[in-house]
Amino acid sequence: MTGSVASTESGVGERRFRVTCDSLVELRWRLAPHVQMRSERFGAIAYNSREQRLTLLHSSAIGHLPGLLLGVSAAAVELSALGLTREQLDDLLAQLWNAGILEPLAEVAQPIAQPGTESQ
Amino acid sequence: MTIVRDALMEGLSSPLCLTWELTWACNLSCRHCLSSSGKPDPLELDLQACRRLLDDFRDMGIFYLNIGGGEPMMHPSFFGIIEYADALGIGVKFSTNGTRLNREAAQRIASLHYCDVQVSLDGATAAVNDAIRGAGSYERALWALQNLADAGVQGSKISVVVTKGSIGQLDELRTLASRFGAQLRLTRLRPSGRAQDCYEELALDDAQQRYLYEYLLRYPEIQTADSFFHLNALGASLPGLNFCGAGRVVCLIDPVGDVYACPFTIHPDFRAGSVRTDRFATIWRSAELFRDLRAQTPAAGCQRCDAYSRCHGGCLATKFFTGRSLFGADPSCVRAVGNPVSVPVPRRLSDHTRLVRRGSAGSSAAVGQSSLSSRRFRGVDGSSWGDIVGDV
Repeated sequence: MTGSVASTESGVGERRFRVTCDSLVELRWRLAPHVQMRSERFGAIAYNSREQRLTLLHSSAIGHLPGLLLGVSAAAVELSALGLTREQLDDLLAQLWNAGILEPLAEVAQPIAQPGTESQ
Repeated sequence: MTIVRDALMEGLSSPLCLTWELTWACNLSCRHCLSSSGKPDPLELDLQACRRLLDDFRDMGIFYLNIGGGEPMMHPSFFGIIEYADALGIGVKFSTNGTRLNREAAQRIASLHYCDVQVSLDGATAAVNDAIRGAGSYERALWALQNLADAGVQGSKISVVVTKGSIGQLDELRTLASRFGAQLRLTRLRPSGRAQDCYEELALDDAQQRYLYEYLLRYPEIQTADSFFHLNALGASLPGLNFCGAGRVVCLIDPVGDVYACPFTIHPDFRAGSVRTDRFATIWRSAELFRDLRAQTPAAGCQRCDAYSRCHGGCLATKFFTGRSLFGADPSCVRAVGNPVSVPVPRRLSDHTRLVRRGSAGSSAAVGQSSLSSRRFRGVDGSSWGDIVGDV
């Protein structure tokens, strides 16, 4: 049930934050800026309008996490409804974060300072 | 990538690439115009109808629209339409000849959240461009690009239909794009619309196709709208889709609301329905034509070729409008797989050069009564799709 992420274009999103925690599942998440998502039979499609990049998400789980995607609840709260283990969901969240689709809510994450810029 | 390809081939809940031609009105008369544009049709969708359609697009989760024409800026409600789309969170990419893109228009575009402008230019010099698009069109396109740059519009494109005339100017076109902070976008000439009359004259020959393929590999930042996937048979795959997306991830809505499988298949055989009589979501998800296209193996007659997994037999529209079997190879197949002309070459649907009250293309056939002609989807030997797979 581990999700996989495949982009139709090269390049992945940038992580704007770093977090310190044992498991990503404990965090609250939201769609990254400029990203829209819709459900499909195989999972979901995400579109980043700024980078004009489509990403196919082969995970039936992601479409069933509306509270998570809206930053309403931590993934841990929604685990029971998905039949996923914590490790599986942790892996999925990491992939989505790496792909620039989800990001942790700012209040629980530390911005990564960019070269030549100050921390925001 | 197999999973990705299969998921897309089977069709999606909504199109990824929805081309919407707002009007047939155009103040140019390009030789290769895919929609044979010129004069508007009195039955073209008005602002109210367009807004209803945009509401449907939002409900379907459509991310962005590819707006074209005709010259879309000649639609009387052009800005009303794209500003409504923007307010709904639907991105707009639109193609324009630039003749109406003055400073005020550029500033209005710059104020939108997501509007990607593609200015058509078919040569790096006036001589090459104007021979196809008409006298003065080169200077006017550059004027539009400058207005966009001055207004701070990001990510504009110079969109080029590559022909025998422009293939030798790719370096110059890249330089020209960078001059305006724009990206270069190259697309393939198909024998659709008026291009049917000049396809043989303008289409790339084999050596030119190979040159283009190498060029695209060398400069992957050049956008192509995935239109050169038939060249993947030469070796490594170019970025993007590697199969025909018609009816699977792509479709077209024309100015009077008729829905076709792709922008290059404007013909009754590929008409899926009309948004005048059915909701777009119903047509996209249920039209017999689209269900057929999603169920079939593209160019099944090519399956024995070792390049099939990279090119999938090429462009459906190019085969159709040159009288080839849709089971066989693209007429520009770089492996020289034969697919002789086997049926009378279908003519384009209509010519909008003159004012003609055409209205909707077909009857008001409801969704499910597809106009898909079985003749078009039969192999040379008359076999059906299912019978011919792997047996040619």
